[in-house]
Amino acid sequence: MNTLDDRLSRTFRAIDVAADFDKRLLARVHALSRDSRENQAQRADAARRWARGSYEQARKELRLWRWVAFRTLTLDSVAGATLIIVLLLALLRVAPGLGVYGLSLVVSALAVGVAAFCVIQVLLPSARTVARFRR
Amino acid sequence: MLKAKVIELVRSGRRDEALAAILDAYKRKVFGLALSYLRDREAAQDVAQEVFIKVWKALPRYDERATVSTWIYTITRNTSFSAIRARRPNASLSDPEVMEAVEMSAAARDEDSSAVDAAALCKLVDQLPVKQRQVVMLFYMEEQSYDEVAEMLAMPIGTVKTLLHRARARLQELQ
Repeated sequence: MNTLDDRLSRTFRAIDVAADFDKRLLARVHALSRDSRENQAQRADAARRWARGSYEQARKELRLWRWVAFRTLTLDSVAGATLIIVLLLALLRVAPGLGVYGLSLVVSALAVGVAAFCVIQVLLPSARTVARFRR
Repeated sequence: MLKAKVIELVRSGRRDEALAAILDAYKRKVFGLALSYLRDREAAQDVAQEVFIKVWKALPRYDERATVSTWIYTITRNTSFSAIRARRPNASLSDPEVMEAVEMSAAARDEDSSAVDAAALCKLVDQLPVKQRQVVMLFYMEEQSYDEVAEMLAMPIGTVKTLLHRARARLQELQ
């Protein structure tokens, strides 16, 4: 049995990796390491470019939205104010002919109209603004 | 000892040095384990290379709870299984490549007729059942350590001893 042990030991102890095993492996590792560093640098560069692009795009859109919102609000406000003045003037003219009940009805309707206008202007984005912003 | 060294090197960003330390300690064992599964020297070399590449990639995520050897042997077994699924079906320990390596090593040690003897032994070992063949090969490659073989093959020491005993008996019969 000992002879068999010795022979097996001699046979299998001899098995080892090829002489260039370390060299080949380290070359592969260095290549991977280099690729990894290059990939990392490329990814970082791409991420920076993307972030800068997004920032610029967001700034541009914000500027556009502000301009559109300001313009729309101004135009709508002017139109609304004009309408209210015209209505008030018309009301003053016809007021003597109306009774107390009729006058309070007209004033209530006017108040509801003004309130609705304010709600539309303040709480809901105007469809025109959104459409312009999207464009 | 090696585990602490590897962890320290990885933490200080010296991953290549950590790999070199692991390579020194395990390249032969990893190659032997891969060869015991694949029975093809070239394929085993490729698997061993793959194992160390995987180790190098995974070093930053190395889980301190596992020992280095358990971790590496697990990677080796899994990589060997993958290679077996993709390799030629009838490789053998007595393939010309394996025999050539054995003969060259024996000849380098100036042992008369040992090359012929080694070739004959490889052929005999080749006839053993898979587990017995693996245990024999790794046991005699690894300075006859039951613990080491048990860890490499992820089996209990008792099983290693039993398989080895049966393999020896079978080889005696075959001689």
